[in-house]
Amino acid sequence: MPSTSKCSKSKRQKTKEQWQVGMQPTRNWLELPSDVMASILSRVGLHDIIKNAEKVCTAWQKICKDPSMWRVICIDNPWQFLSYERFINLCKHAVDRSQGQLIDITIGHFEIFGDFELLQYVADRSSRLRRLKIRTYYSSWCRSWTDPLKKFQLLEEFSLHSYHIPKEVVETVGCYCPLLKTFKLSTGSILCNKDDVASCDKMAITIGENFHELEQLQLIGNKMTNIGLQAILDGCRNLKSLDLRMCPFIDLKGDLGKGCSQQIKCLKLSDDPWWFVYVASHLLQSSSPVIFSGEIPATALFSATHFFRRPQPFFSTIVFPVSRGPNTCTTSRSSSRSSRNHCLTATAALGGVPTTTSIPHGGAPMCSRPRERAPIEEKNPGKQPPLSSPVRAPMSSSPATTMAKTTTIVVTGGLAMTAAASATATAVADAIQKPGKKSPGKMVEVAGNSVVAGISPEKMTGWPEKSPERGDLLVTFDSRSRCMKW
Amino acid sequence: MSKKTLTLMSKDKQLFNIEEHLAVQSVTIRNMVKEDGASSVIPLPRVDSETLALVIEYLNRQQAPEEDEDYVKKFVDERGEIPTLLELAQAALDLDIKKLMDAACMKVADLIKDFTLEEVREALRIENDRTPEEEKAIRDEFQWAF
Repeated sequence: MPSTSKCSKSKRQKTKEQWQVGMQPTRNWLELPSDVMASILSRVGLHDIIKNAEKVCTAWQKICKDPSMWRVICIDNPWQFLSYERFINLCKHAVDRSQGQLIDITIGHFEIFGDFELLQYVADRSSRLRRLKIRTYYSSWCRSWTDPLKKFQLLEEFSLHSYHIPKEVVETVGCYCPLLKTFKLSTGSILCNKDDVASCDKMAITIGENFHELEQLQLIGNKMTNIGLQAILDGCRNLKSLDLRMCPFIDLKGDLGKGCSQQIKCLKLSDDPWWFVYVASHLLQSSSPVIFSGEIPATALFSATHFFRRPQPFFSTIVFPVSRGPNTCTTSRSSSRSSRNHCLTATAALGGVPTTTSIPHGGAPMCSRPRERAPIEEKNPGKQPPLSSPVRAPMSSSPATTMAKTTTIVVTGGLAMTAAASATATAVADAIQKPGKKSPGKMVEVAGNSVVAGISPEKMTGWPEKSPERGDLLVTFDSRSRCMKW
Repeated sequence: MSKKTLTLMSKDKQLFNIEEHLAVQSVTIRNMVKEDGASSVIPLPRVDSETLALVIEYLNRQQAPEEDEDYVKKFVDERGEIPTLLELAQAALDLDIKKLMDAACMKVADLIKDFTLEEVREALRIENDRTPEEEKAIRDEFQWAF
C-alpha cells in the first residue's frame, strides 16, 4: 500500500521494533511450510499481492501464482485502487489466476457496466463457483445482465444487496442454480407503492415455486405481504432459517405466524424500528401531508432522507426529532452531538447546505458518517467518493430548490431544544432560503412549547403561518412500544 | 475419576502436560488418540518450547464458545511479533488447530500489508533472489495496475 499516513507509519515502526526485540537471527522464514506462507499471503489481499508480495522473492511468487491461492476472491473495497478500470483489470487478473478453481467470490460496490462485464468474465471461467455475493448501489438491472447467473450451476449460496431486487434475478437463480441452499436478498430501498408490494409478492411466489432445496433465506427490506410468505413456506419445505427483518407488510399475529414459527427453526424478525419508514413512504403516495414525530431512530432518518431526495412533489412534511427530552439533552453531550449528527445527515442528504460556519456551536465535524454510502450521486456515476468520506451536501443545488418548492420541514425538540438542534434548524432554513426563489420554504413549528432558537424573526418572515391542519396525517412513532400510530 | 493427560514434547526436548479433552482440539492429536490411545509422549519436532507453551496456553483457555473468536484474536494480538506469530502459525499447522492458524496468519497478513517491499524482506529475513533484470521484468508486468 502506498499509504504514507502518520498512523500507518507509526504502526510500521512499532512493528519493526517488535520484531527486532524478538529476533532470532538464525531462522530463515522461507523454511516455513508453504501452507503457512500461502495462508498468510491469501489474506494479504489482491492489491498487496500484486504490488508487493509476489515481488519479494521467487518462492513467494510461486505461491502467489498457484491457482489454489485464488479459490476465494473478495473484492469488497475497490476504493484503494486508483481507477475503476484498473480495479476491474485486477479483478479479471485474479480470476485468471484461479484457472477455473474459483469457488467463492464477493464483489462489493458493483457498478453497472464494468461489473456486469466482470460478472460475465467470472461466469465464463468459473463453472465451479459455489458462493456469489454482490453488493450494489444501483437500482437498474436489465434482463440480459442475468445471463451470467445462468452459468453458475453449482451455486450453493447467492447473496445480493441492492436498492432494487429485480425479479429476473430471482427467476434466473431459481431456474439455473438447482443446488442453491442459501439465498440472501436485501434492499436499501424504501420506495414503495402498491405495485412494489404486488411484485414482491410475485417474487416470493417465484421463490416458493423454484427454490425447493433452500435451507436459508434472507429477505431484508422486502415488501411482500402474508401472501408471499405463505407461498415461501409452502414451497421451501427444507427451510431452516428465515430472516424477515424490515419487512413491514408481514403480519405474524395470526395462524401464519404460528405455522412460521413451527416450520422455521431460526426466524429473525424486525426488532429494528425503522420499518415504519416503509409504511410512511407508502402513505406518502397520498397527497395529504404526513408528519413524523417521536423518536425516529437515526437509521430511519437516514433512509428516509434517501427517499425524500426524490424530486417528486409528493413529499409533504418531516419532523426531525432532535432531543429525547429536556434532561437527556442538557446533561449528555454525546447524546446531543449524535442527535445533531443525525439531523445533519438528514439535512445534508435532503440537499440542505449545513456548513461548519452556519453552525454556531460547531466543533465536531458537520457531517456524520453514515453507515451506508450516501445516495447515488447522479451527476458522476463511476466517480463515487470512498466509503469513508463524509456525506457532503451539494451546495445550493437542485434538491434544495426542489425542497423549497415542495417541502415543509418541521423541527421539534420539546422544551429543551438544544443548540445543536437550533443550529440544524438554521441550516435547514438557510438551505431553503438560499435558492432565492419567490416561494420560500415552509418552516413550520409544531408542538407549541418548542423553541426553534436558531431561526431569527427576519428569517421567519415570508414563511406561511401554516400549522398542521386537521386533515394532515400525523405519524407518531413510539420507540418504547415499537409501534406506529397514524 | 482423574482426567487423562497427554504429554507433548517440543523440539528442544521439553515436556508439556495437557489434559486430553483439551488437547484433542488439535486434529492431529485427536487422530493419534483415536489410533493408538497416545499413551506415550507425542513429539513435535518442528515446534520449540516457547511456542508450544503458547499453544498449550491457548488450548487451556476457558472461554464460552461465543467468545472464542474474540479470544483468539486477542490472543494473537497480544503476541504481535512476526517471528512469534510465524512460529505459532507453523505449530498450529502441524497440530491442525484451524482457528489459531487462521488468526495467526491473519495477524501477520495485517502486519505486512503496510510494509514496503524492502520492509517485508527485512522483517521476514528473505533474500532477494532475483537479478536486477528479473526484478525489472516483474515490476513492469503490473505497471498498469498502479
